[in-house]
Amino acid sequence: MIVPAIQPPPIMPSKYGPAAAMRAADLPGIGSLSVKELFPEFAPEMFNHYGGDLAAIIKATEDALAGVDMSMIKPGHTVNILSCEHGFSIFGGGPYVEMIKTIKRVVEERTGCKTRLRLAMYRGFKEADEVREYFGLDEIFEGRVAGAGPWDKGLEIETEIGPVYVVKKVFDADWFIHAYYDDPREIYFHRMLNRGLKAFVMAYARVETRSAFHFSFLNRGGAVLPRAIYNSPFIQEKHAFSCFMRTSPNGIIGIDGDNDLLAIDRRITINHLKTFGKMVRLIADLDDFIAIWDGGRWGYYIHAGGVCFGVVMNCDFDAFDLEQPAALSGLDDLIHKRDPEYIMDMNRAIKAVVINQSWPGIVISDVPKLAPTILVGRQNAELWDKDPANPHFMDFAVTAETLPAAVNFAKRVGGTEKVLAFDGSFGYLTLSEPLAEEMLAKAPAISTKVDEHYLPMWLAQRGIDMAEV
Amino acid sequence: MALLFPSPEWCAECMKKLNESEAVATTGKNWGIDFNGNWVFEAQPGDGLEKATYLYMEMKGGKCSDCRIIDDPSEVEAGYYGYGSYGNFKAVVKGEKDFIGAAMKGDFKVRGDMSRVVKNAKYVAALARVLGSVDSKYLGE
Amino acid sequence: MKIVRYQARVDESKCNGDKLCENMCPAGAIKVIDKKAVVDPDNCMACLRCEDVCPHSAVTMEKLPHPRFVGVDPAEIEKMDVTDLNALCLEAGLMADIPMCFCTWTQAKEAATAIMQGAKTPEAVTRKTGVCTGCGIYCVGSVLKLLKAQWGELDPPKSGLWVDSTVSMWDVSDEVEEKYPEFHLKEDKQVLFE
Repeated sequence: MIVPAIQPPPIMPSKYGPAAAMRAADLPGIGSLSVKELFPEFAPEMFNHYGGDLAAIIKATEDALAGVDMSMIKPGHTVNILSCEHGFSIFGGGPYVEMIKTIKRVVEERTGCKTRLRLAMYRGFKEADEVREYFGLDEIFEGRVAGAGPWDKGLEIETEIGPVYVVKKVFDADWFIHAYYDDPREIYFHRMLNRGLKAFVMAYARVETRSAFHFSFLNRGGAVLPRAIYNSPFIQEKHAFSCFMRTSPNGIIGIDGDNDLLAIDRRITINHLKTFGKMVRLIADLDDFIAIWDGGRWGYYIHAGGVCFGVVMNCDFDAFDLEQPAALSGLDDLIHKRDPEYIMDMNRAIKAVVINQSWPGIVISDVPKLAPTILVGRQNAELWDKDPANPHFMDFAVTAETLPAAVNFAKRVGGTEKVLAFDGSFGYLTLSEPLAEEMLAKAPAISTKVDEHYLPMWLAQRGIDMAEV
Repeated sequence: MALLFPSPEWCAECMKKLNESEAVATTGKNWGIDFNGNWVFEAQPGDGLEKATYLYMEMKGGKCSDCRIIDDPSEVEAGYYGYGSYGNFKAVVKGEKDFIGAAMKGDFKVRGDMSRVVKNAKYVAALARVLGSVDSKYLGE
Repeated sequence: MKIVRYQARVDESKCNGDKLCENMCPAGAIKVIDKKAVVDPDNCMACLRCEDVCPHSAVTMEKLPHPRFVGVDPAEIEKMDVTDLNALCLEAGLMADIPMCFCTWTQAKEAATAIMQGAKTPEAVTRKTGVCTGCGIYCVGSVLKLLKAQWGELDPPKSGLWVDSTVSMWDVSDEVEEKYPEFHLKEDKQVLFE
């Protein structure tokens, strides 16, 4: 059943979020349930935050890069290694940094060029500074580090759907290396269509391009935007290769390097449908639980068993099913009003949300509409009170002094003893015993249903043969 | 004198007003130039209309060259097909409903190259306004 | 509606007039005058960008004694010609009643009203409605599209606060639709109208 709670990944201190006085894993009645107990068929991980050896990441990166062509990079060329914000909080950031360091070393050894690091961030103008200091990146890259964000100077590039703006600083080199990670965040936006290309409309793009991806396309069609950017002559002429930290609900399963990003993307798609497909369907089948946001950046992107809260909140419908037109986007509110069968309702199993440690700054207006929302501590209350992305939030949220008090209140108003902490964990879920019981009881049937019904459908919709799986 | 909507007389008056409308001419100057911009509107039975009735409008460059009732949509080649209840069409012609707003709420369905409809929304609105300017009377009333 | 609970305050002793704040303000509410940043209290939306971008910590946020509410009066929206309003929204690829800005729950028709009443820049729309002062993700593209649909070509500021970028699914050609059938672009375009 459940074991004593495994400590979740550490949290980088930040001006954008509070420090947690207590983690959910330290709550009485909370333990850890292994993903392997739920789905023993998942391939084992090569690294997880609890007892993993970073040397494995280094070796895996070296092996992944061994087959990558770097001959296009000539002496005297400039090379940007592109990194993105979330990688620095997944598993506490350590594995991502090791992958980046290894890319740097291998590229510099093989090409004779000095690489530069670009930290593509989103919300705060000082995010990049925090990351570079915390992980010692200036020292690693001998000062050749620069942050970039969506309000930085844009560069217009021509694509097959018209002109689009990327962030100039990100691509201010002869070559770039797309150093990324594949955890399935925002499935309700990308629908597992070209997940590997998402950074081209997010971290690497101007805010107007991000806006277009989220709001000027429906969700299936929105995949055309990152694809069009990736396919553009500008990007194709600069893309040296990509290197991904690959994940499953178990943890990091490998490092994947290739000159063909679409090939990596296809492998990601297959793996995610096989593994995260089951985790998401299991969580979608839960009857009720309290959610605790406990670590990392914004609440929607904090993991439990490798699945982000945002995905959990929006898993009422099957986002992997490409026959479904509706998903989260402003345009879809209209569809919701007209066609009830297209409604992407929020996950009504979430009975309360406790915000222990998470950054404000991303709109979460749906959360207090969905369920009672309880902030932990006065520092949290002050941060969220100031949050311009959620100006109505404090009219709906309540504040508890401590995490135990918040959880006790959440259980009372939510009417359940089932608790799930989104604390950045992969490989294990930090939860209460009653929730573990429900998940264990339901997992076998979910596994069978995904294998026999959902997976063949999802794959066929993406032109992927079952034989490839 | 009020004309029965729909009827051949109503169509003739509608066509006249479309061609007199500066708003239609201005906003529709690029409509139908390199694509089929003709419309078939299907009013579905109910609210006094006994059977489905089809209105064909030939629209190009901000002008209307034909507006008539047809027996069957297959008689013509139209790039756009709009359908809804007679009651909803009545409401638009009476000015009680805005066509675009009603379409967005699902009171009308539209088929065709929607990109052009979206990018020429002001033209679509101008057309609907002209329909509402015809002095009309209605079945079932 | 935007609820403004704070206001930017400049410590002149730390301000060096570098205009980083001015170039980042979505409401045009902080400007450098005589080498010092000056806040316009009536238009500051407390988006925190000036506080965050300033490398000298010259800007802090002060809580207002009473919150300020920003938005177009619903009575003004009701007075607008609904046909013109819907047409403007649709031409921008929006539906009038949808929340265009999720941070402030502002509907597209509210921003459209502000524009039809004379707002000609994103900053002017922000001052009337409070949009584009939160997450910075969702609504800026929609504001640009509405402005373009009403006033024609846009003239982006040299500061780079915004760029003229309004690509949408309505710009995708038939050829590109057919190239990527798995993206269901044709169906997506049709699903709103059927």
